[in-house]
Amino acid sequence: MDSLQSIWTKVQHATVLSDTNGQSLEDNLKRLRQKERTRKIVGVLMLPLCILILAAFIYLIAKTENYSYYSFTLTQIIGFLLVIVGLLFLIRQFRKSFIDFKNLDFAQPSNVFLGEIQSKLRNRRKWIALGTAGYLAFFIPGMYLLLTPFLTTVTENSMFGILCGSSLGIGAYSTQLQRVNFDKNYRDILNKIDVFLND
Amino acid sequence: MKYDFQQILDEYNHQIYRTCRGFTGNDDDAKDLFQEVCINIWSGLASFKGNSKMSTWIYRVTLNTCLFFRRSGLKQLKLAEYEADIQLTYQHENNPIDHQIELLFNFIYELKDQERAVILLYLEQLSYADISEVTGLSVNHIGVKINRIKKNLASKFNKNGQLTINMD
Repeated sequence: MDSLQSIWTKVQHATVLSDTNGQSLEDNLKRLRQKERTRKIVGVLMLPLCILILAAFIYLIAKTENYSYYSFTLTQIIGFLLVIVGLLFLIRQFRKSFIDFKNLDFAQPSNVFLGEIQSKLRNRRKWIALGTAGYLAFFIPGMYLLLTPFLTTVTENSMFGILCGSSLGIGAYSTQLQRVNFDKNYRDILNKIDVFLND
Repeated sequence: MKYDFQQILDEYNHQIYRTCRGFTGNDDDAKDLFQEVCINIWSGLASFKGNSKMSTWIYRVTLNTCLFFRRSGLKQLKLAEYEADIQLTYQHENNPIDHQIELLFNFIYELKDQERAVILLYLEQLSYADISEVTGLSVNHIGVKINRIKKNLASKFNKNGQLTINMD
């Protein structure tokens, strides 16, 4: 008769490990973390840099003689601002929904750790849906106000229809894309967590 | 307090690896998982305040990493220059002892995550209180679970025919 514990003792004897080189591992980790930090800083700086370059570019174009005859109306500026606000809202919600798995606290008791991930995963879809909806709520009227003065071949109503249709189409497509990605990357792990926590 | 990463690895690498092996069912994934655990230990070491035993802390990190392990895309960092040189040296054919080990790993792998976690910690001879501290489950719940899992494993061994396992 063998007990499970005695088989496990055999497992313990069968575990062979050449010395784990902690120093080499640590050096690699430090180097990679540094690279990651640099990439993060560059990532943060990229957005304002792009906006600055774009603004400079627009300014230069506006300064040239060919374009100086046109000035934006207040309505158009409001429309433009609405589009920007919608975009910022979308970015904010997407950032909120991002789960930084690298910075999870792995030293918590398992049920607390998994509970935290479960709630993050469940909220993730909510934030994304809210972000998309919010974005559309700003984007459609914003584009409408921005583009109406340019209309020559279509009526205002048609323009509104085109904007709503295309925006909702894009919104639905991106939501569906998110759902597919979620199912691919997180569905399995969420199911496993549910089983662990409810068992 | 500063903790020596190398010293911790030297002391716990066998236990960590066995837990990883129990969770993945094969050596290749276990090696990847072992590496992930090492990364998480290294990352979290600075925030370890000594409120719990070091062994409990290590098992928490190990277990949570195992529970969170996804076969694809999990790797946090590519450690191309580093590969854990660790394995279980048993061959499952012909040798009855090795066959027992192989069966035990297979049967553990068939368990649900929570059961797998509890039995692996139990086999590593953690007390019920320590298992409770690692998993967050109550001591009573753990006691009930372990009895149930042992019965389950014993019946699997017995069904297999060649081996008779008691529930001690």
